Order: sequence, then structure tokens, then C-alpha cells
Amino acid sequence: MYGVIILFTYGWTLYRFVWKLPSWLINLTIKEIFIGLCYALTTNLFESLVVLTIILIPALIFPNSKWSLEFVFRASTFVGIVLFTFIRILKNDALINDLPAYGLYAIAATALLQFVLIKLNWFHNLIIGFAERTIVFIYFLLPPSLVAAFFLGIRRLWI
Amino acid sequence: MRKSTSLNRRDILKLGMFAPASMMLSKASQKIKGGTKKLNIIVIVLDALTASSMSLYGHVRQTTPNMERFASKSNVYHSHYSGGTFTTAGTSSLLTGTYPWKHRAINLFGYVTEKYTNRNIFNLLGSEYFRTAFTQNPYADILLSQFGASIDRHYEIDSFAKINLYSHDNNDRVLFEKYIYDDSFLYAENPASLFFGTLKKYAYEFKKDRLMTPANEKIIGGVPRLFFSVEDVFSGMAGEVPASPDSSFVYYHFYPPHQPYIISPEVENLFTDAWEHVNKPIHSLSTNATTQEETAELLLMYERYLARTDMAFGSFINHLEENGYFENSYIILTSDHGELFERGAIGHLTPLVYEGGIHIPLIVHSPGQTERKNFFTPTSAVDVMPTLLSIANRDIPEWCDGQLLPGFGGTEDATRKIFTMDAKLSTPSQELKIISIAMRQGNNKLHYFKGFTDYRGARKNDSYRRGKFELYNIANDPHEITDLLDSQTDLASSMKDSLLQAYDQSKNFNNL
Repeated sequence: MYGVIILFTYGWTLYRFVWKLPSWLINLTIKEIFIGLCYALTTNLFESLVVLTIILIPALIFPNSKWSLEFVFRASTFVGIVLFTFIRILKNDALINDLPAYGLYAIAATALLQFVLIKLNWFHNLIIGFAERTIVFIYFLLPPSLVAAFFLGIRRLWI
Repeated sequence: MRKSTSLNRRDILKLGMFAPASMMLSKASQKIKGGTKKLNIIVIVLDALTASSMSLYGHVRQTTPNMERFASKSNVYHSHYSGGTFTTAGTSSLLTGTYPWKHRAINLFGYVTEKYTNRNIFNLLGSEYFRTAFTQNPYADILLSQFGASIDRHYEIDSFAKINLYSHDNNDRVLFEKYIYDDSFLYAENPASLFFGTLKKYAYEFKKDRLMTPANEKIIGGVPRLFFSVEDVFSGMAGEVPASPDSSFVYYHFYPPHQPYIISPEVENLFTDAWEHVNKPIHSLSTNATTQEETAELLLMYERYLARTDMAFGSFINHLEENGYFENSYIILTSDHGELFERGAIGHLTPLVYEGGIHIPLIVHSPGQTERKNFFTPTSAVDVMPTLLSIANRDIPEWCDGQLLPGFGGTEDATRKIFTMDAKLSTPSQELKIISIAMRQGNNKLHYFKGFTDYRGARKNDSYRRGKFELYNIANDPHEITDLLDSQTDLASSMKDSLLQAYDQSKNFNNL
């Protein structure tokens, strides 16, 4: 499930990074771009942990609830819908008055997945399989993020 | 025998020897305490203020009556030019006294080269001045952070503002690139941080909507990321001008009349006149995103916002006058760059170097000055720093491109060449390959465009890539309609040589 969070948070930032890179290559040095990437990875690390914490809290408070018992499916689909909705809001540059509509779509999609589609074994297995495969993103994105955070911390102390 | 306690002649003579020494010590101690008071210097920058929209400079709409009132006791420079076409380049030229091809702060969110972090007015004035800096413009705040080691008090960008979407931390002077990544990337209007960035963006939108009421103010031309009342900021910062007996250098860089234009009820019905902006042909290097009617409407909104800014400036100046600053301070009003509303270009993120974008006000009040003096020969933003250094009895460094302003030891030299340049798309650490340059000499002005390939018109006309010139006589043709390049060939040739020589020298930037 953490892999799903990382897929969306890091994926969005890296997409924006690649979009900005051509202009940065014009007016920034490689060192400055590298430092910017460190800031981005560190921010992604913290925001992914915050999202993870939000998702984990109900499971910790209600360990025997449906949320906890079907945690991987429910948490993965919920966080996927929420973060996908965030992406849609940003891509469409939504006005504040449009946010309730996006919220309703997200609630409807969540309800459909959590109460209806969860009962379909093939769909259930599909989501679990997908969530398991996103674990690979943890392995190759988390270590550089930790290194980036450490690098920025050292830089702040020594400069 | 009792010792005598009365003074005899010998005692009086001995005491008399010490009298001159004691008098000298007394004077010396007064000087050490600051008895010889230096004068204050207060620099006020209004962002994106073009001289062509100011009634002070002859515009028919009465946009700046309070600035005219200030000018009635000041030196007014009628042909003053910014160093660059937008905040980073223009402000850097103002604060370092050098053209952009030297300081290299030429890109959006750019900053001066390391060599120039100490080559600025704050550092050169020295610690004998209490140096205060404030700006509402994040691009300018990056520069102030760069110069931060020489600033005694650096106000936050959101001082006296209502809400702020920027991520600055003025204490983070060394790691100022964090601002760049926060404000231009992670927490930009289209944030790269999916969770934090989206929440921050819409939390700001929600707060802003709650603070504004439909009947109160209208915002034209974009969404402000720093939401403030013009009057609150001006009056707040007026109250912050140091009142200490020591000398102060104050640099206030206000955002108005930069867009978005926040139109208050007091100005929303101004200028309902029949005046029409001169229509000019669409330029090949413009985006041509608006119609002539839309351009005229935006110009009207800009001038209404300028009128509101002028009212706030009037209150600011009243405060200075009532508190004696007109007697003990040099007060300078200027801008970092102008604003274009012509030829298909709106604003200042354009490579065009026509008058609207680079002709800016400069008004300088000297302590006790009661009459206006006018100066018409061209001057540049790079002249402000050396003039201030001269006022403060500091040496003018040899690397400075500017000269003393007329009225402060400088001469009115019609043969002098001054430059404004734009190179937003060039790499600062290399030769500036994509560049626009304006060179003003006397009444003549030469434009030069080189390296442009991506603009609609540049794709059809290869001369914008190879190098294209335009020549105007500003005295006879202030709207720059008639290109004299082919009719005034000798003049054009001479000016081209001068411009290209200056451009060639800029390529050797490591030695500049």
C-alpha cells in the first residue's frame, strides 16, 4: 500500500521535474538542479509518510474493523482514488468552487470499490497484485530520498 | 603646618595647559557618539511602473497627482531607463550599478553571480548605515537574500499582508535556492508536490475568497499569491522607517502597480474618458494573445491600479514629510522596469524593449529641497548606486557601469550610451545568445534582437535569429512607429558599431 502512495506522490513530482528540466538546463547549473532534485525527493518522502500515517491511524485505532481486515485492498484503493483526484484537480487547474464536484466523484468511486467491487474476487486479486508490484518503487525511490534528506541536513549544518 | 588649598599662579598655569586638550577631547567624544549625523537615504521602488502611464511624465490621465506633488520638491529625470525588462534583471542593475551582462541575474528566479553578492549598495554603504530592506516581489527577495549579509533588517515578504502563498524564509540567506524550488516548483501555482502542494494551494484560495467580498475589490489579470491591501502595506512600512538618530539606508520595493490589478471602489470609475492608446503594429516577437480592445481594457485597469498606488504613495510621503524626513533624507522614487501594452505584448515578460517596457520614473529629493529641477538627458538605473555612494562619501568602484546623476555631480551628456537588455532565455554562465538590447544615445534609440527562433514571427523571419536592428528618434517619434534604420544609414551604422562592441565585451563575462 505504501508503494501505491509512492507511485502517485513521486510519480507526479518526477513528471513535473522532467517537464521543467529543459528550462532549468538553460539557467541553472547541474549542481543547482541536483539540489532541487534533493528538495523534491525529500518533500516526497515526508508527504508520502504523512499520507501513510493518515491511512494507518484508523487501522491502529480500530484493529478489528473492516478497514483493518481488508487493509491492503481498502487502503490502496482509497489512497489511489484520493491522489488520482488530486492529480485531476491540478491538471484541470480546478477553481475552488469545483472542488466539491471532484470530491463527490471521489466519494462515489470509493464507495463503488469499497462496497461493491471488493466482492469480485478477480478485481480484489487484481488490486492486491497491483499493490504488491508497486513495492518495487519503495526499493528504488526510498533510499535516494533518504540520502537526499541526509545531504540537505548536512548542507544546512555546514554552510 | 597646614597645606595651602588655594590656587596660586603656578597652579593656574598648569591647569591652563590642559584646557586645549580637554576641549579637543570634548569634540572627539561628540563625534564618537555620532554627533556628526549623516543623512538618511530612502529608496522606494514601485514594481512595473512605466513612465508612459504617469501624468507626472505627461500622460493625459491624471494617474499620479501625489507623485507630482513629491516631484515638486525633487529632481525629475525624464529619460530614465531600467537595466532590464523584468524584476530580476532590473532590480539587480539598480542595486549593483551594473548592466545584466555583468551581474548575470537574467532569468526568472535568477540571481547575481557569486562575484556580485558583495558588489551591492548595502555592502558598499557599510555598517555605519542601518540598512533596511523590504520587498513584496519574490524575485527581488531572492536578490535581497543574496545580499543579506549586508542588510541589518530584512522584512518578510508578507509584512502587513493578509495571506501569503510564498515559501520564503529570510533567515535562510545561504540556501536561497530553496525559495526557488519551493515557489517555482514544489509549491508553485501548479505544484510539483502532489499532497502538500495541492493542500497549500487550495487552503490559500479558500482563505483569499473569504477575505474578499464582491462589493469590495476586483482582481484583474491573475490570482495574487500574496494578498494584501495596498493602503495597509504602504502605511505599515511608512511606520517602519527608522527614526533613530543614526543614519539609515532604507530600500522598500512595493509590488503595486504590478499585476494582478486590485481595483478598489475608489478608482473603479476613474478615466472614463475618450482617450485612446496609440495602436501599433503587432511585433514578430510578441505572443499577440490579446486583441486591441482587450489591450486597451487592461491598460485602463493598470492605470486605475496605478492611481490607487499613487494615493497610497501620497500617504506614505505625507508621513515622511510630517516626521521631518524631507529635511534629513534623500528620498528616491523609481521602478525596476516598465510595463508594455502594445504591439501584441502585455506586461514585461517579453523580449521587446520599447519605451513602455523600459522607460521608468526617477525622482530624487534632496534634504531641504523645495523646488523641482528637470533633467532630460538619458540616465540609467545603474547610475543610482554610484550617486548614492557619492552622497554617502563612499568611493565608486571601478567595476560600476553607472555615472553620477546630473544634479549630483554628473553632467548632462547627450553623447553617452545607455543600455537595457533582456536575455531571459540565455544561460547566465555562457555567452548570451538569445538577447534583446536597447541602446539610447541622445534622442536616438537602437533596438537589437538576436537568437530568437521560437516566436511566431521569428519562425518566418530569420533575421531575428541572425540579428535584427530597429532605429527610432524618441524626441520626434516617442511612440517608436517610424523605423529610421534604412533612412539614417550613417547614424544607424555608428550606433550599431557601438552596440555590437558593448555586446562583444559582454561575452568575456568572466573578466567583467
